[in-house]
Amino acid sequence: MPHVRIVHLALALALGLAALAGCGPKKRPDGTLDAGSTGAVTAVPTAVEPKADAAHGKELVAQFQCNRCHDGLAQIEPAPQNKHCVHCHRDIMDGKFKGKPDTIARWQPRVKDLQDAPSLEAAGKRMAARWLEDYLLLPVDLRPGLVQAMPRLDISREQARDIAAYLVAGEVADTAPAPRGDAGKGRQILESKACGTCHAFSGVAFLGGTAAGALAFTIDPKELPRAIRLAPDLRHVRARMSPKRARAWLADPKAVKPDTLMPKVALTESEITDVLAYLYNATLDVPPAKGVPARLAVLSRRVTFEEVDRKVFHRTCWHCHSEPDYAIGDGGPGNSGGLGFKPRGLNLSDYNGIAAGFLDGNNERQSIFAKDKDGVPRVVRALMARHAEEAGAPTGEVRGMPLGYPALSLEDVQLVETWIAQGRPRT
Amino acid sequence: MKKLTAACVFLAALAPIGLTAGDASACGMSVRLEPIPERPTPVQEIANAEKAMDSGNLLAAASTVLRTFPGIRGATAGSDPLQTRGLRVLALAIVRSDGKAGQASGWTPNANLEWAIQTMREIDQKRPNDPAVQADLGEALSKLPRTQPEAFKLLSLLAQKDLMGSPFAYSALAHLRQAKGDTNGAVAAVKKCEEMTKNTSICKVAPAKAAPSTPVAAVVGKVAMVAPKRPRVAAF
Repeated sequence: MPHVRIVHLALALALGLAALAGCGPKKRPDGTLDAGSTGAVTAVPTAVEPKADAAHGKELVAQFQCNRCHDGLAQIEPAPQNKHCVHCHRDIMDGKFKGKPDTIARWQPRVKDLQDAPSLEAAGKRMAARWLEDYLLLPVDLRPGLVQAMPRLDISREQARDIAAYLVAGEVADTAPAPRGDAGKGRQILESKACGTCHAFSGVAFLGGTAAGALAFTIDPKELPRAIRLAPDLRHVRARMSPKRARAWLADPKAVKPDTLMPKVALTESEITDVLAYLYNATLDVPPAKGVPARLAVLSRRVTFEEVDRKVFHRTCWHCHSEPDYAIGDGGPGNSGGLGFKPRGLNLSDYNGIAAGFLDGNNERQSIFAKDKDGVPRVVRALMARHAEEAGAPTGEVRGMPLGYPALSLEDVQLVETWIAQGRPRT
Repeated sequence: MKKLTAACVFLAALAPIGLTAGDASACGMSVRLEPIPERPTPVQEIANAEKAMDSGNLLAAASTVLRTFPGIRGATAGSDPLQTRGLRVLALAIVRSDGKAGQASGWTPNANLEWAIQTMREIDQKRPNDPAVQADLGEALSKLPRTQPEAFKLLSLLAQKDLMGSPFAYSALAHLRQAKGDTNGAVAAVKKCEEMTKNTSICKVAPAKAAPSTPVAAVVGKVAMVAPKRPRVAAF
């Protein structure tokens, strides 16, 4: 059967060429993974990319409800208070939310993590469209001071491109080469100005920080914790903004983005050039491979719903997956839909609701305990997918949960899996 | 003057009713009223009714709902979320008490059950494709012989897809399976029921009247004995 051999040879050759061409996760120059190679996206850029549609991007921003977390969107108002995650959480933290004091006190430790999200004001004067497109497809840990991260949305590359075009409307292609200053001096300036007080710079030696009182610039001490939370990792500067924009930013941040907490630091033109030389040219260590951890073996002791609910479902899940008739609000985006996700009808607020499952893509009810081909229950798969996302590994169709929050500890996942394996005892 | 004094005394006696803590002036004299406990809000009342029902106190659950919403029997499911919760509690209390709880004057238990089934149907229509509601509806339908085939179909489907979290619904399914002679199926449903509740007595299923060819011992051996107050289940 010579023709069979020929087919096999052709197939092998094609696979070999694909491997040589770099199929599989790729690293960008800054060490982050290329979203287009992780399987997390539905489309891969081709040689000739279609023109981005900023008007469609604006519609998508509304569809994905970016205004529930981000302020400063051009021509899009912030979400109303009862839908705005960040405003609501901040009100609770600031004691402005109407409610019984003991209730507010109980909520505060739980909501404190989502009291800040970066404003997207003047995004067009700061960010590069290509970086934004990649970031939307596979968010990286851009702001190490924030507990939550940009969630991995259900988004295609075309959609990401259109959103980026809307957000950075007016971006003029800036292909200027990396600055040619003295990188060593630049490093020294970053240290002497205590930039490390707020900014991480992963991939280089620690910049060092200082106490707020000894800062080389003025910042309201009350705002300092917020500034630290929102400060981006400087590793991403080279991909995120052009040298020209970075120069304008360093010269006067508020002139670029009036609501920024970044202070104006006294720098000469020459010093700015040196700082940029370091930011753009410093050799970055490849981030240590995180690896996807393995699940722990199920426990031999009895695990009841009361324990799983207290430690996992009620503590982490139910705020986005609750029942509208039994809670304030609409049941959350994980039930009635939102953030671009269709309504899943998933209520994790009580035993009955959890047993009632979720609506799949065909609007059919499916159990969250249904096992996949590897024998892993769907809910456990979602919890482990978040670990995979954090490690930059492919997760397939299952989205990591909790969305945009740190993965649950392996012990908590073990608890859920044990409970399921024991027949989901209620008591 | 005597009339005025008497009126003052009468008013003073009535004063605590409807007043909250604080000084009050009555007939020129100040009296300190004891604080009157705040009445629970309707949300708290319905939450209490749900707790009462979960703990098996069906009469208390029904009466709490009726006290909170006196006209609830005529209410439309889905028009108000809290009232819909109240309707669900009242309907389930009626179902689980075999029509006795929340009985309106002149209503027979069967008429009460018919109302409960109708109510659960309305809730199901307002919240389509919700297995938690469907399980409650299936439980209600299992109470009357004429609706038992529908209950069997509904509960079987939910159980097959592993979408049922109510021990009462599994208990109802166990009864229905038993009535059809499906002993193994009844045993499986009883097992699921027992995993979901502390009060495993609700899961017990009376052995079916064995057909002449069915060995009685095999049925009794697999299914726990008897819940005396379960309603009759027709072998449909």
